[in-house]
Amino acid sequence: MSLFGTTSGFGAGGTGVFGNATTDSHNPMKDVEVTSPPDDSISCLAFSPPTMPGNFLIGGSWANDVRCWEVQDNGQTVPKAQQMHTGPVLDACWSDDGSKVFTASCDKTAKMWDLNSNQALQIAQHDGPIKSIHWIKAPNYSCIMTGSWDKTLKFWDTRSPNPMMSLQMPERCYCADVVYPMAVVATAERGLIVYQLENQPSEFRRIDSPLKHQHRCVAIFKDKQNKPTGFALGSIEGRVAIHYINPPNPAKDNFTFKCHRSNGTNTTTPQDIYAVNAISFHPVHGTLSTVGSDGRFSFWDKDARTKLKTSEQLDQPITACCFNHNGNIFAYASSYDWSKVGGKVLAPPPKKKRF
Amino acid sequence: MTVCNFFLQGRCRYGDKCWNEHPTGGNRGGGFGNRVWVNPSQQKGGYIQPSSFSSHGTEEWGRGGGGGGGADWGRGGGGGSGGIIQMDMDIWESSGQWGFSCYSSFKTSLSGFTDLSPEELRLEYYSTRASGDLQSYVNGINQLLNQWRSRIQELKVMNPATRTALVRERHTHTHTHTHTHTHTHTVTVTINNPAPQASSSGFGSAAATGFGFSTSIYASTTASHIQQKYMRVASSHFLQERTIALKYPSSLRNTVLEQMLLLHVLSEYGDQIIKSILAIAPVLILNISDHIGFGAPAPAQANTFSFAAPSGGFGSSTAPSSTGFGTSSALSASSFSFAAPTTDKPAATSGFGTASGFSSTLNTGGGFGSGFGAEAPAAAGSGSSFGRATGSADRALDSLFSHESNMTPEELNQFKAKRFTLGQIPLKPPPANMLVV
Repeated sequence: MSLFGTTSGFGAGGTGVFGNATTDSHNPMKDVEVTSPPDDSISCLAFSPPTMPGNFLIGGSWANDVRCWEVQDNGQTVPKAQQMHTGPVLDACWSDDGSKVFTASCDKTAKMWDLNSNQALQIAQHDGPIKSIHWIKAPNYSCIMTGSWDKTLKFWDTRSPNPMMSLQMPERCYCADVVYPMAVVATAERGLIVYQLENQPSEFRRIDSPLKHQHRCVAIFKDKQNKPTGFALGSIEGRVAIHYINPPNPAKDNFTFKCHRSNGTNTTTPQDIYAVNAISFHPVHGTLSTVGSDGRFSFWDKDARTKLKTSEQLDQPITACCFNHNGNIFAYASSYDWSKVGGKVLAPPPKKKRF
Repeated sequence: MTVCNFFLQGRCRYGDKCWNEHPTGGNRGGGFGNRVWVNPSQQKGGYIQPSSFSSHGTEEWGRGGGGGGGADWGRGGGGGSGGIIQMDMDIWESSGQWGFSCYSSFKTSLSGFTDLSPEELRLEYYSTRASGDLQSYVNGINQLLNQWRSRIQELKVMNPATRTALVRERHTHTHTHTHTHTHTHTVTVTINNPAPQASSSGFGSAAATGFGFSTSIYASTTASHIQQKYMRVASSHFLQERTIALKYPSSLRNTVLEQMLLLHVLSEYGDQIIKSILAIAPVLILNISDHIGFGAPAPAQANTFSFAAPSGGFGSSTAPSSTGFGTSSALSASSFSFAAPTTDKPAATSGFGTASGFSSTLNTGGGFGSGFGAEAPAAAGSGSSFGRATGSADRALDSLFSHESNMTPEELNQFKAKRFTLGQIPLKPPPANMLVV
């Protein structure tokens, strides 16, 4: 417990180590379950960057907290620390040196959590819940980008209470991703905006959405030269669109594929269609993973346009996923995502999968 | 939908993608024979074509999603587009997917759908649970669900009114449309007004409950998006039941006005259409009010259309229709300076009351606004208001028309000419003595 100073107790009593003796549908893939999971649905997961030794996983939840675990090489997880907001945490990210974690919450603030001292400071303020937060590291500046339901995208130098820049969006921010020098924001009403971040952030292009329904998640992918070249956009309709920014042949290079649907081949009975809750790209191979409300995760190869693997169905929707910095570990969170608009909340454990 | 003349002749270049109706009894051979030649600008950068998926069978990957650069998605036929929408609605309804989502077909968003993410609803739930008023959350959700279901039903059934509204939306939405057909797309805009009181009060209360529980959550933002969403659904539904009829037996049956309307609609998109329709609409409504029987009480209220930010003053004329819409705030309205068409008929103010409902949809409903070419909801303000359309009961009849002295020479020439020239169509009504009935 020494790495992050004081140990703050993890609330919920009784959440000891989860053994593997759980029901099949709870963990059908027999992946390692993280110890001391949050008490409410997990909204986001993020692994520490390569600049830090070891693998640390942070997860934000609807129980207003952000927790940090150390993931050891043998696969076991050790809870390290947690911080609280006054509202559900919607997104979290690491700084590039791995010393700080930024968290965004429905309480309209974003906080910077210094892991060494276990202190959290407020660094951003919006007029509405903050849905996405990303760290931008440019040669001439670094800042935090926050996207909020108040239809603005703000950039913050963590030392100042006022934003460095505030960009107006056509609608509420639903999801965003940043890979320098590109940022993509998907908004409500099928809005899609690409920003370029060199020198200072500015709007690069507004794109007509390739999808027919509400946007849910977005992730940028890189080309062979490690430059961001396009993004994958998921919607509530069980579909992901792969979109290149400047493709040689847009009609052929951009495409969409269906995923997270109940019966793929049988076209007679109506399909159940599930939302794609999160997308993340493998840092090395460039393959992508999607997780959905149907409680499955799948891996895809976008270049070969094939599906690589689909998991068994979990008993709860999967709400978040991410790869660690070298792609050895894939973490996904199984918790209720409100897709049935109803109010049942179960104790949700994030799980880890080793490759 | 108008019938495609070219298709009837057997030489429609767009085939299934044509915006006009290709009657099934028509000249099929000719129509299909030309499918081979596809206008390159109509290319299949198209959205997901149903056939490509069936051929893929188990494969889940399909072509679609035209490039962002500007591949035209293909316009989808008049009848054909209806088919795809209906299919999508079927699938949406039966698949159990998230219902509170926007929907679009062929690049234009269809109105009538609220876009709410699960997180937003969940936050509402948590907040209402904290404040102890879960029932309002449940009510709000049920209301949204009902609106969604009825909208889906409308689109599945696709009666002519819905189709017209959709076509109108799509026409006003396309910026880069490459439609080069020479035959005219006449858009018939019809207003009929069934039971205005019932519908408007329904929405008034519907919207009001929405406000009740959403404003408490986003207290700091006057224009909370959920509030707007409720507004939008309410307002777009409002629209669905109202289409502006140009055919009416009144003293205002006037080729000039009709031509104005049609030419505007055909020649210019976006705001112009709103302006022209609205410009004419109050005149039409006023004069047809007794024929259609608005029957609502007629408080002689002026200034029901000041769309300055505190729109509480809005809609004070007919209470039921207005309360729901009046609370939309912080949406700037570009007021349209149409020379005030007024009326001498008392019943007409009720027309304004309901017309106010109509115009309010433009201001408040981003969704409706999008239908009228205010493309991004940020441009919600682009929905024109009625501007100075006042509802005073006892203006003289000749306020309906301009005075000769108010007309510029160009406008007079336009009115005098046999036909309007595009781009110079006057925005004021003609002087009474120039009317040729």
